[in-house]
Amino acid sequence: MLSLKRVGKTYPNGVRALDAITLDVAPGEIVAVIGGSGCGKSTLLRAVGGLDAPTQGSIALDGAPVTKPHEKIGIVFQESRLLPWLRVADNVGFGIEGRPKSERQKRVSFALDRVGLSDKAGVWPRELSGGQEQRVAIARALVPRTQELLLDEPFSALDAFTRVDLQDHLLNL
Amino acid sequence: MTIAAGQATAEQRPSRRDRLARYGRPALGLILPVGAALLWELLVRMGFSDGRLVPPPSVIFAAFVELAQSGELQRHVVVTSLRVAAGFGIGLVAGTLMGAATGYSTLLRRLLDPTLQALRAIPSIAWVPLFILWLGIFEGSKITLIAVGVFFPVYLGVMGAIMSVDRKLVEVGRAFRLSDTAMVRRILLPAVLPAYVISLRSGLGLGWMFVVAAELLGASEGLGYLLIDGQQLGKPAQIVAAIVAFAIIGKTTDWIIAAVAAPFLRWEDGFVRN
Repeated sequence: MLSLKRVGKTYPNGVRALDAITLDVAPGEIVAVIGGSGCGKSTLLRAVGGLDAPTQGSIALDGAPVTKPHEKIGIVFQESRLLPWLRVADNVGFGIEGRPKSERQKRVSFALDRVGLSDKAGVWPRELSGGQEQRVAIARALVPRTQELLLDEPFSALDAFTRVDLQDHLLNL
Repeated sequence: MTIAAGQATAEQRPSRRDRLARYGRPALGLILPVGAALLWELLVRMGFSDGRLVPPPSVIFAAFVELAQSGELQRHVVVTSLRVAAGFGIGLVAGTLMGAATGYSTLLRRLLDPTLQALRAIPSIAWVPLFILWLGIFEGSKITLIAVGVFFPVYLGVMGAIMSVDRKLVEVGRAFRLSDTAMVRRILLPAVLPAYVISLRSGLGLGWMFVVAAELLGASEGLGYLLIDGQQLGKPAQIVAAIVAFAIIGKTTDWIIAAVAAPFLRWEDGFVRN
């Protein structure tokens, strides 16, 4: 269970991005945060992901406070943020480097298969289309098998057809 | 199946045009120097110049061969190369460590960078009298001068590269809870590598420049000594032969760095126009 209690965030320049947000997300539940550009959606996700600390309130996962990036919380950013010096398979396996090689290969291969990019394992990120990059980013977030997956509008920069396709794809995962 | 196999074979075998392009492109860079040399040779042979102060390529080549046959050229090349290698090694290590420290730590940058930038502004040749006083006229002062020349481009390159690493990529490392060591190894190092290689090449180029300055100021062997010897004895062909030797070794060492780095930079998505 992910719990937010009166979470607020005020930036050093005085902008108040979040104000007393209280929310409980049950395991398996899908929650969509909707709002205009600049309303604080990304700020909220970054706080939940442990990348930016809230200035008020608290965030907890299964009762344990989230104050920094958590092993049970994965995040997919607006941009793919693939590491350009790693091939697709290495990008996907980025978060499980400490695991045995055979397990890593198995999980990377499985994740790539799920996002339909098994044939792209050996290519560089620069050789992918925008939609493919985002699918790789999703695969990278899936591989560590996190309990919560935060999606910060990962399809916003894509064309409508690709976006719908990827949304359907994600719901099937 | 048959079609696919046929395509694969065609892809594997480079066409005549590809082969021409592959070998022809490096040759493009030779057109200007070779053309200028041939033109000068022709002008001297036709009597438009006596070629006394600017000897034609044939005379320079003869001087080159003579120096090589006597073993002098190799001896001087080895001495100069060892000086550059030592100075480059010291400057490289110092520049990399200082650049990494000031690039990574704001505190260290605020503490050290203003002083280092002030030192960088000093013409390097101005250090020579001090280095000679401190380290003597022999190898110590020469190698130190070269190391100073190498240090600054490497230092600036590393510091600038670290500071300009994409914050979003660092955030990926944070999201995956990388330790500081892992962050450096898996994000910062690969991210700075392209700029680092360029700073190494700049540093090495300056190393070759500074070895000339060091050897001109007092040396009994080395390519710089050959330059001075040629000037004092009125042998312009020897001077140009030494200059050509500098160009060849400098270009070769630069090529070695580029070639060693190339496999690590295959991922780069830079601007290339064929």
